[in-house]
Amino acid sequence: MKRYRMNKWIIVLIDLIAITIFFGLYMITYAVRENSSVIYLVIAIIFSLLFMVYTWFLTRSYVEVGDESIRIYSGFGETGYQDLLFSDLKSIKYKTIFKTLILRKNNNSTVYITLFYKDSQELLNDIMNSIVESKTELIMDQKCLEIFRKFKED
Amino acid sequence: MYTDYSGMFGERWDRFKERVSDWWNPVTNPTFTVPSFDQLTSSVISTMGGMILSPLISITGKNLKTGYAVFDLTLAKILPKTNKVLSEVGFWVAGVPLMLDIANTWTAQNSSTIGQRFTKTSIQIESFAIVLAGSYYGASFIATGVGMSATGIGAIAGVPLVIVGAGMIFGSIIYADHFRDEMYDKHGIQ
Repeated sequence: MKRYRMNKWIIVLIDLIAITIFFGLYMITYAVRENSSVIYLVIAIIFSLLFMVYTWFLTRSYVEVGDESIRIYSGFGETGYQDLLFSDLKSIKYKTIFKTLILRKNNNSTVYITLFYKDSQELLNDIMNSIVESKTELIMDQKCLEIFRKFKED
Repeated sequence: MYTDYSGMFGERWDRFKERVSDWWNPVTNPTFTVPSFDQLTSSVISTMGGMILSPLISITGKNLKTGYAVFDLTLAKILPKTNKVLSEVGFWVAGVPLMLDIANTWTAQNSSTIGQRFTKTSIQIESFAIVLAGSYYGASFIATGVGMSATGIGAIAGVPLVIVGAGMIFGSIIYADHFRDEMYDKHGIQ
């Protein structure tokens, strides 16, 4: 069972984007009102700090791929664990643009694994490999099917 | 055989307008003044602060209860009466500044007419409603995003929702403030 940890630089990038948006909104007040209140600056700082606390939890997240299940830990203490059994999965999709695996369970609930982990390609291959090994029948989209076929041939 | 009612209605309409302007135009001199929330607190902890805080805490409680049971259960374990207490606090935090500001509008010692005070009150309620709506939906987005991350449904997938939610709250505050200033200028309100 290999553990894939979150790529911390992605979190730094997300933080930077969010802070830019919050301070950008503060700057917009100059554009629309030609002056700005100190409260906007305070709100921008508070939102940025809260956001950084929130993303700090995400830096602790990881994914573990086993033979029959995937364990996802989001970083948020004991509530953050999701154990996904391959036999409990109904469909799998991969969105290249967001690097996200969308796993739908039999009870129609969905789990998103965004592959911003270290060795993300290896993680994707590992998940597909485990699905092949576990002989689970799944509805797959084109991208997943390609990776899946490759493993079957190997 | 026609009776001309237009003159009669015209006369009544004029009298009605006169009565309205009799009520609308005088300048009142209140004997006491209720301070506005801004005057009571520093400029940082203004009405706006209360407005964002309130929906945030009340909605976060509600949303987690329905949407993300696991997260809510943990929250309920730590703070058993969270939702009830938070919405109570939210009500007072949002309500008191608005009430104070409206009371200040009607009791302030300035040369405003009754009509201007009336208009100012409606502008205050409108801008409050803008922030309330923005914060309500923004807070729902944030609660959903954090819920998705916290329960492992999607650690990173929740992030954009949180950013959009925070942007909605911030945006509504900026817009409401801008709207209020513009309307005050338009109606010559102090």
